[in-house]
Amino acid sequence: MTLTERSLEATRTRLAEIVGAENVVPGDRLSAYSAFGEKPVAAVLPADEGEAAEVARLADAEGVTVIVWGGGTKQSILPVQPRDGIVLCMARMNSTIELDAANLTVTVGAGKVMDDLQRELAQARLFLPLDPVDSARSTVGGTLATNSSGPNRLLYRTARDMVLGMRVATPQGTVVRVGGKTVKDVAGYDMKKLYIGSWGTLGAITAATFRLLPIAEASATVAIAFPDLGQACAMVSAVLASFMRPSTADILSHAALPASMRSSFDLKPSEYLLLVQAEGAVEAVERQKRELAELAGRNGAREIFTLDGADEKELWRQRKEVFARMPEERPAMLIKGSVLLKKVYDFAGGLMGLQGVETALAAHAGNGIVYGLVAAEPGQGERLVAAADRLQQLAADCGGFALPLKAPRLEAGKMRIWPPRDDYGLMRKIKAELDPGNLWSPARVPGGRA
Amino acid sequence: MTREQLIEELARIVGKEDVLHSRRDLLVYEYDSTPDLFQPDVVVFPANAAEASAVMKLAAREGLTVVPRGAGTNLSGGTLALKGGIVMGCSRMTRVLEVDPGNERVVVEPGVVNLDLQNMLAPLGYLYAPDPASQKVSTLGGNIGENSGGPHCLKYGVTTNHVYGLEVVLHDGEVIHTGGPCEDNPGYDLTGAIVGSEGTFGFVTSMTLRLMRVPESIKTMLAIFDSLEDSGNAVSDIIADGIVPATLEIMDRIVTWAVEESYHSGYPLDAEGILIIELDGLKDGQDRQAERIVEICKKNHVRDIKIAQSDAERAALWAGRKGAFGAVARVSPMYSVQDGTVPRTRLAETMMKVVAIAERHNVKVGTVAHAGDGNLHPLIMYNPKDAEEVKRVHEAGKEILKLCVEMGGTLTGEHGIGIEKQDSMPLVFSDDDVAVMRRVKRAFDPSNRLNPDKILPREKAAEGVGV
Repeated sequence: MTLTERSLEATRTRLAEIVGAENVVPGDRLSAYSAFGEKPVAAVLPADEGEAAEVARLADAEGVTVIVWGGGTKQSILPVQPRDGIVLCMARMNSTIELDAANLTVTVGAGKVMDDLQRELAQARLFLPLDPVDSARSTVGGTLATNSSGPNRLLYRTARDMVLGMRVATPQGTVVRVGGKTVKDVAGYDMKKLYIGSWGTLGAITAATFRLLPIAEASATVAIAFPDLGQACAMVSAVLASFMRPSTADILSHAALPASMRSSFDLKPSEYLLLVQAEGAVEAVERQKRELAELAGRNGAREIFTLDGADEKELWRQRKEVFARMPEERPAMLIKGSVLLKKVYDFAGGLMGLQGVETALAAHAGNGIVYGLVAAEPGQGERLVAAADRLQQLAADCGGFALPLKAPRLEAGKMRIWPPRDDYGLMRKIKAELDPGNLWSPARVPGGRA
Repeated sequence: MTREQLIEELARIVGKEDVLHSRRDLLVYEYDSTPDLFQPDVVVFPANAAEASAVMKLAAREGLTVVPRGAGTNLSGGTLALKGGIVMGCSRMTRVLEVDPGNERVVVEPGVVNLDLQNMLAPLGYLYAPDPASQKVSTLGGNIGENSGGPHCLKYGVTTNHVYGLEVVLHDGEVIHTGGPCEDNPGYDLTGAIVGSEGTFGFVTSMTLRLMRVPESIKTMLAIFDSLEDSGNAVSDIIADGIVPATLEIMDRIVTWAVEESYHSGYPLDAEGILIIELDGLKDGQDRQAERIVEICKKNHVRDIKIAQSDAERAALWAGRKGAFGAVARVSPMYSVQDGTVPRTRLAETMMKVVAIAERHNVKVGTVAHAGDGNLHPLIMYNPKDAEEVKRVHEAGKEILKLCVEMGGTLTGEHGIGIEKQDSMPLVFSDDDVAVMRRVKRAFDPSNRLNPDKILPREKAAEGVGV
């Protein structure tokens, strides 16, 4: 809903009463909260869940749209969500509420930046096995709301497997507890699952409790340069069929890599880099290093590198730069495919074989997740639309689906964002029950607006 | 519609022999593993999603309640037909539809028994991780309904962590597919919402489950303690040392005694606390980890600790633990089983307080616990003919639940709320918390006909009465 200037002024006054005038973002700084080329009408930073809930009540009373904001790293992910409402920024709610090291749990405010959390946990020799690539800026709440994950999901899975409890400010303006702090908990409906990946459509996550793991005794990453994609995929299949349980199996194309990684591994433009990380007991890591090198040799590797210590850390830091920025000088699309494990080669190969565009690939190959960056020459944005369509077809043939994540707004408008499913109707009913006014990121309702 | 007409209509959908309606047949479906009895009007066994959908449409048209049912091992009353109506069983849907180790997936119908799936997968070198103690009889459909756990959940998680997708018949007969064979499906995680919803959201007709490679090496250890507190401290110390075993189970003296009577697993009768510890994974480094565990147990005054030397020895150790409920039932035909969960570090303290509660109420209680998860099962034994004792058991049970919540835990780790604990929900959840759950229930079941009046507190309890 668009606000008239007069009611907007009144709303700003009310917001200032709730969060304090200094926590209402002034008009000239609102562009920091823009996305899809639009500024929101207002942005506020509540101090705690009570204030967040009060903003929700105000929005409910006035019929104003609410967009929840964490670190802002996912605001430009499709579908386009117009900025015709209030941005509810959780950045101030960034405290560590309880670190219970003996029970391997931590409870933090939603605004806590992921890397900050990991630094705190590391002091207790613990970590949260959730490593989204934008962790330097992304927050706990944003990571959960967007169900973000990273390379180590191969072993540790995703947010749904780590969140024990949450607190959520609802569209009704209540603050509710979901779950708790025990690993096993079947008391009541498992509401956590609905809020994870809900993209701010059902309310604002204000705090979360996670299960943690002790930092492994040893770790090593085997980086393997393969002349072709098929060899890298065959190697991943062999690893999955073995007794090894590595934490990552990422395949990256030359074009996806930052320059520093290309040169460290002397990767040729036609080659692919496979990164397999092994964590655990010293003996188990040593064994996996040997076995991975053997498997790599058998699968046609050109060169095998083994990294540990600071080199390994630096490698994974650089890995986070992959697809961190979209090309600015020409139209480009970031697309995410999710396919059957045995079909990763078919889909990834199809992506790299697209004609008339340039492509780059970064895959969590052991999970069937393939990210593709597709770029066209200036003025040929139409080719992105065709590429999205082709890849969606291909993903369906591979048992899965493909979601365009980022694209110029004009081209995005011509793409099918949501893959066909028969459960969107029920999702819309849940949205309608939990947000009857349809005020919370309405454009992100699963399946699109009915 | 008369009962006769309903039976006739159902017979037209599923076939005459798969509709049960005689008083004698219904007796078998009026109970689960809780003491209350509720007889359904009719029990029906669809063969597939189309038949289940037709039954659901008929129920919707006639305003009848539908209660999904697996093998009936439910421990919280979740499968009882409170309002009569239709019980929909899954015992005709027993096919394994697709075994696909390469994609680490299996597609099964809900009537497949958990252990039957395990036995089918083992020769292929794969397993399905959730292994509830009831796995010999409980169905995978029932496991989905309850979000079942089991001893191996410490490392690998519970049922919900191993389900990729579901085919579900909704309240109006619509058939939908949640999740899918691939990961990160777009939209809300309906699969996650349905798992553990105790049959109140729909009837599951097929499920895509996650397969894992069997571990290369398993090491099972038995540690015997003269004090419950020492055994509990050993559990905390093992985890604090950075070791994540596949399982960490604890049994107290009374359960040990009952188990030994039945299984002769070689547990000493005078032990106050027995731990079963299992490591799995690559064999490399495992011996050293086992030695470290021995050291930690010794530091906590272990009396004796041994490592199973063969598969047969391992099986013997487990037979006792998995048969614990049955063994207690041999000693005391009726017992009330609790399922509270507490933060792991408070488990020993909680178990000792449970003993004190039992003494105060003059009831006999033995406890077995998934110690690594802080999930404890006090079994309160009683004679159902002794009304006064039944009352004391009830009081003790409520006090144990309250204790678990006070310890920072919750009401149930894996058995569900059902009807048994619905009035205790306000111990953990506020009216606002419950209101959100009610909204979700309404989205799935607007006319409240799917396993109605379960899980969420009855309205009077929500106002604070009856807790």
